[in-house]
Amino acid sequence: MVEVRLQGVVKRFGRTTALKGINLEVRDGEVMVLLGPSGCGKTTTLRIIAGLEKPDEGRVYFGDRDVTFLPPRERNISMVFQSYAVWPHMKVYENIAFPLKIKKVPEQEVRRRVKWAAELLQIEDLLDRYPHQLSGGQRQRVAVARAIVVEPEVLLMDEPLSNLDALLRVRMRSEIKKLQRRVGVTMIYVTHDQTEAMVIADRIAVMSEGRIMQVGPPEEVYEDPANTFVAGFLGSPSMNLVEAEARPSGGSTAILLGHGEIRIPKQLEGGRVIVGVRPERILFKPPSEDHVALEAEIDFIENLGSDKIIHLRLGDTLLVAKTVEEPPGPQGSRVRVYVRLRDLKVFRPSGERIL
Amino acid sequence: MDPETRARLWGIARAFTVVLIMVWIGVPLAISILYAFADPQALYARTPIPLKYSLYQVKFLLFEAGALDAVKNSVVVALMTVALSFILGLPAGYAFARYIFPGRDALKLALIGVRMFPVMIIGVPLVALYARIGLSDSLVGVALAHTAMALPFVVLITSSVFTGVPRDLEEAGMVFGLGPLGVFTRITLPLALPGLAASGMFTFLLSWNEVFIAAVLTLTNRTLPAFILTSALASPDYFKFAANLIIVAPALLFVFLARRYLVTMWGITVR
Repeated sequence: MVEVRLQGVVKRFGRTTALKGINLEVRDGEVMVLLGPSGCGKTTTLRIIAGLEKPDEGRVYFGDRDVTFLPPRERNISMVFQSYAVWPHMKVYENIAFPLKIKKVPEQEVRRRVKWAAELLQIEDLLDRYPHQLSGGQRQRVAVARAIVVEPEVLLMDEPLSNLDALLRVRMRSEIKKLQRRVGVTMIYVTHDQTEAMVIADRIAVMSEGRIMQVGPPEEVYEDPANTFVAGFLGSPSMNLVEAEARPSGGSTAILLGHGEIRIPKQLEGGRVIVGVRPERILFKPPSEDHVALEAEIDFIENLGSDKIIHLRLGDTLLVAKTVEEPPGPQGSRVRVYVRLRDLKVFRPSGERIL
Repeated sequence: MDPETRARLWGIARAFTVVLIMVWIGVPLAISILYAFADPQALYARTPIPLKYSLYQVKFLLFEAGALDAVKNSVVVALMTVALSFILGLPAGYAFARYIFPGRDALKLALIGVRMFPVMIIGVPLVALYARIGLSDSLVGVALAHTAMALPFVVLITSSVFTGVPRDLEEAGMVFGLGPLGVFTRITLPLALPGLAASGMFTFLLSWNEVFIAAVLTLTNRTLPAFILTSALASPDYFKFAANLIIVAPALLFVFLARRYLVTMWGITVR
């Protein structure tokens, strides 16, 4: 177990810059999830931590040890690859035992530890098989068993669940979390799936275009997005982000939204802003806390079973609301909607959060 | 025409083509093997196939005319060629498969470019060169020349074989404790083995079949094709058929055995 620190890491591939200065601290024993759309640099970051890629600038530390230019085998890490990378010419047992045999662990100890890992992942019955005789989910378990059997200081996971079917994915993500708790290893986990990130992470680093946009616990990243990218990337349906006009006047600010106006008891800078509110935070009954109210028309309703997605129209502004209750009226009817003041996020047009 | 008849017609056409190809390859092979064992008199009798058989000409060629020594020479030369061209070609093939470096494409083209020159043009200067450095009439000399001919193919084939080994599997090896050499010998090589074996087979046969260079470079240490070219072809027909059998049989046997082994490797069917 060790903490991992990245300092100003830059990586270029030819003329494109994949990482534009990554600073990140992963605490000892925590699960850090690198989350972002494809091409954001999350996998490159992981590969630099693994030593499979060398940064063009910056440093990587494991504790006090500068590992920037150490080959992977000298870093005491292990990794679960997106393709699992289970060696097809070895049986399951040999796959799991191989890292131990390279480290010259005594035969008896190898057998004991393979057995331990196989039991933990419930693959004892498969030890005698070749990888091509296994299903995708079983191969994934073998890859995880191989990764934990060496008792690494840092466990790296590169989208390990992306090749599984939806049901198995849901089961495995909580299993991986439980496993990490039991083994207590520092884990860095790459995914583009926000639900997976929310479930597994102690902290999430949201990435976009080679930069880290925000780092924080899942609730914080969800409730308190630092910018419009993070706000829009997390949540489903994603956060409503609508353009509005802010007019400050003596300690409060009026925000013109659609054809309505909301008043915020805080002095903000004037001009164009982006107002953000999560769909499930648009309420149809007045809450007890401080709130604003708006007139809207119900455009149409999507019934997803447990949830209803309600599309609202405020003049020419469109909002999406989500509720588990009955819709407040039929399509075309006019309703009053409420938003708690603390659920109202305001951003500059360039994306930074101002409230 | 309804789809069913069309499918049936296609089926017939395909079966016909397959039969045609089989006949094209199989009949000459069968006839030449049959004739190799034909009694000399029966060969010229006016019957569709010879009616009397003997081992005379095969035995004579092998044990008295010196074909057995030529077979041994051929095997030695072919094995040396495989070994040399793999020692030289495998690293190059791996480099082409895994690394991007300046001049990569030009080098690849140059490899094929070597084959632009007819062997004859290389053959004669080689005789002079070998005489100077004391390699004339030696098996090593022939093997070196064959290596030069086989090398471009070995490099290109092995490079495509190595490209077929997923990079992930090598990276997993690196992560779990292997150095570059360990990754190559314990991950890449075992996975590339079926393809490499096929490439080795190809190289073996290339050397086994090569006539011209072998005939020019040797005098007493003939390889099999050179031996047949210079002696058996000047003999009566039944000797030619026997010689044909001697040169074809080991190659066929080798390919069949190797193929069976290849197909069952790792329990995965290899094309």
